[in-house]
Amino acid sequence: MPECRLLLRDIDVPDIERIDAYIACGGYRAFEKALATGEPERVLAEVREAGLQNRGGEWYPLAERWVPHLAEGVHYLCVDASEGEPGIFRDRKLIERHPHQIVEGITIAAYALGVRVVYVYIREEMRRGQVLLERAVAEAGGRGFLGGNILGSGFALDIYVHSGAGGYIPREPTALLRSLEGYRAEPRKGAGGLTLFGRPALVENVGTLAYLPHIVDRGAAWFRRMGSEKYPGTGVFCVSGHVRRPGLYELEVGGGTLRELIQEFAGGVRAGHELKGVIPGGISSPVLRPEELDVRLDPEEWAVPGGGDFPGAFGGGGIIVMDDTTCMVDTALNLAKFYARESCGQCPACGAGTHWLQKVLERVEKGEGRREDLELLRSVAGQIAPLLEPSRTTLCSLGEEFAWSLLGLLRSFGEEFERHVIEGRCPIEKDRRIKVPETISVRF
Amino acid sequence: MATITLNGRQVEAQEGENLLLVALEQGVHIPHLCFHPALSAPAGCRLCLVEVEGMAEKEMITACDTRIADGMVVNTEGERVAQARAAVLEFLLLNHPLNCPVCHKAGECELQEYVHAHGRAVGRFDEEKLTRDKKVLGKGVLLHTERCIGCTRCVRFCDEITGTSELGIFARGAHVEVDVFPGTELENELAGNVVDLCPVGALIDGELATAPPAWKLKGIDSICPGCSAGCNVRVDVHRGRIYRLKPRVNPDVNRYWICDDGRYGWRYVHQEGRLGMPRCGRGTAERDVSWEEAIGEASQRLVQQFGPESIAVICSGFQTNEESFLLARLAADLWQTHQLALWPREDARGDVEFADGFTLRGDRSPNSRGLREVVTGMGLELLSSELIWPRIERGEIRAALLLGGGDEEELEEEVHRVLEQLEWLVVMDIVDSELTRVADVVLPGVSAFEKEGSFTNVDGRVQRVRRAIPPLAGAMPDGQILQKLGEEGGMEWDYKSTLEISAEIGRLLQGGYADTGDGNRVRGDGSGQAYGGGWVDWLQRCGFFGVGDHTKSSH
Repeated sequence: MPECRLLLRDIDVPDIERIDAYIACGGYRAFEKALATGEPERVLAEVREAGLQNRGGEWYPLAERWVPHLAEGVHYLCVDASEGEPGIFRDRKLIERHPHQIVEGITIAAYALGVRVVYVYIREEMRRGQVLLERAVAEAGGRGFLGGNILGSGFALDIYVHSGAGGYIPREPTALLRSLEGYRAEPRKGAGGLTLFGRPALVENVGTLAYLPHIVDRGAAWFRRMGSEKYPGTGVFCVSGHVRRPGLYELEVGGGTLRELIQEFAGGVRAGHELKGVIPGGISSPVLRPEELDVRLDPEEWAVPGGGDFPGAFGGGGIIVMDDTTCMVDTALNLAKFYARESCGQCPACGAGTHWLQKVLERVEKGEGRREDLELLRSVAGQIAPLLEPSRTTLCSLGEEFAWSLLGLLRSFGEEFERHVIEGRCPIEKDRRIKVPETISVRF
Repeated sequence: MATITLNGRQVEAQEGENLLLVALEQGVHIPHLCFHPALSAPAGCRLCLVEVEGMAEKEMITACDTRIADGMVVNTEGERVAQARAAVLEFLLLNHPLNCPVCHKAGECELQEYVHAHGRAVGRFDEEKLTRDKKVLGKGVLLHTERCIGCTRCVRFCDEITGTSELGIFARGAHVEVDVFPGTELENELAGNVVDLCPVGALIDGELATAPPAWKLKGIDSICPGCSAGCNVRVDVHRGRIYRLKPRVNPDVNRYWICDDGRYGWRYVHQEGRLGMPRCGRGTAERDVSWEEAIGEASQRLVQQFGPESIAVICSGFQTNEESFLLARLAADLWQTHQLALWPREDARGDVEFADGFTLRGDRSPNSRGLREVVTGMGLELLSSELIWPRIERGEIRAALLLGGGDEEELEEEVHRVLEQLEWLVVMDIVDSELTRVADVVLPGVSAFEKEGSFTNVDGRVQRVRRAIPPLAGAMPDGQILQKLGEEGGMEWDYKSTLEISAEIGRLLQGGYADTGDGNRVRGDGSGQAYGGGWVDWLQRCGFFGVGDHTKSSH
């Protein structure tokens, strides 16, 4: 099974971040083609036919999601470039290495939606990406792909690159919009009513829009030949952790299993070590044990990846591989710290609850845990996010996500937690050194 | 109309109404902390989670931001709801200090109430709590940061009600805290309301820190005498002393708020300069006298020495309707003068309106409209003091009965000079001031908190004023003083109570004078709909805003 590169096709072309190299690779051809149709509806129909699904982790059909927004007269398109989850680095690379592909994707989306103003909400920490994206926008404007009456079509579009204020929470569309308006990034119950500055807005993930030039250029039928029936196209997977060749791998959706991706593409774990666990689809997805990796890389197959009560999560394609030097309590603590820090603090279950879990995990990891702590962890995590019947003690899913991943770790590695408590110390010989794998080929 | 099922009961409600408020109206109290009926609902505290069976399956949703839809099936009890509630409360208490017995909010803390009713008996948090510093936000409002549960009511109040936006939420996660934005402080004129809004003891009125705990205070429903808005207040007293004023909910008058002038404006009541003994004589001749002597001297001179139209009665707009009635009768029937005037107290800024419509009135006296209505209702004319001053200067007016206002009176130089020209000046006031020092007879009256009666606010709403504390020893309610002045002069009247006078005013004004209620009486617009009942009543009973049954209300 070979790699199947769409988004990453030209990523190694020298100077691809500049407009000349991009145009030499066929860049902006798709946008010109879209403009030449003169009918935004046809562009939208093409996207619908292609069956493109959101790649930000939610996997909803793009065109279907857009239709109600069109009906209510969407005024702003906000592009979510606030990727910030540990283990996910796809959008960052796409922005830093291939910004024109994104700009072109945005122009096509804006044309299909009839939107004249686009905000790209970029994570504050991605300074380099911001600079490169702003330059790409300026270059595109210089060639007449942005601004008023683009290429004589009568279509006008402005793209503004807006730096976030730091934080992970703007990945919630409502929080992103509030942050864009200048408020604290706090999620609101905003289903169906997303607005920016009082006008209807649509939030779409940057890595999803990057597919649009390819679809428009080569057609929906061509796109549909890749991937699975329900999820056509490719997925860009971020493999990190204890593998020989960490990096981005673009495969057809459903084109292989998680084990194949880790073993064949990423080269498996380091020599002399054994695979211990895999966080398969972003850190909110329950950890998998080595024997659970034969799942096809298709969201449809992930309802219950490890069996049992756990809802699976295919997520945004962030795969973290852990070998036998990894302590699972330490992993849980690491995740707890991330979620406790990134919680906006509105909901007590997420703000205080995650803080509580972090404190307990700290004790367990230090060997000061008590027997009842494991039950406490399960109970508190269950109070934040019961598995089967959601209690909605949190407004958005941020708090729930840590509860899911903690419950997943407790399910798969409960005995390791118990050993911490019984032995009064961390039983794992950790490898804290940052080791560059011997056969490194990080392909950015 | 929509029909919903609320805990198995069929309930009619307006489509699109707020589920939490509809439930309250039906007597079903869904616990909530961040929600407030006057503010936007961020649905952040998650305490009001209830189970709603929609089209598909049972779902947990927050009641505070859910609109009524026909056919909705709502369960506010049941195990799943109880578990969610207990969970949220447990999380809220994690870093919240549990030194409730010494907390200023003890006894009227919403979190405390809810934890008692719905929380776990024993905490499971065995880690070190986060500790944080106290801060001064401004205007005497203190923030006990570690008590804060981040409900943002105070922040939303400053954004949505005052429009001044001094407060914000800072930091993230468990470290979230309220603070003022750098370089600003809480300084809007409604700032004190954030203390009432705070569901816990995080925001504290620094000046009231030594007040007795809530359960020792007795609350008396009355009307703020601070301006003509007629804000409904509860006067919290203990052993004959006022400790604080809190707003009472009245959707038609002050909604949920009072201004800081009103909130702290009662201090003169317990001030040292209070007049506690009648006085006769100006300057060096000044001496304390008995009430008999003072009334006798004042009345005798007014009746015998000065002819018709040479006496002026100058009111301040601080007199109740009943006192206004007595004054007008004294003027017309006893002293036979038409020189009846209002000496207005006005804020140079005029009306000050806030973002949500709450208005500080430029007319800083509580009852100038009532005075005018009563006087004109009796067929008399109410003049302006501006007309009276020249008449005194010209010698047309030679004597006056002058009534003071609330706090210490400062006289403009010109007025001072005019008053000194009077041959005979009787002053009724409550605090020793420049005004009382130019008087020939000083009759010590009492504040609005020490007497019964009614005020008519700027919109013509007649509202009951109730005695919250006994009159200062040696002073006398103004109505009684006026009756005695009349009796001494030969008037034949014998009003047993202010209610008798109210009734007479009612007859006089023929329906134009209706007691329009101050929260639990009948509306004046004839709709017959009573306040109270529903959520307004509940709010008051439950101590929303600290307005409620944690103090022993007298009414």
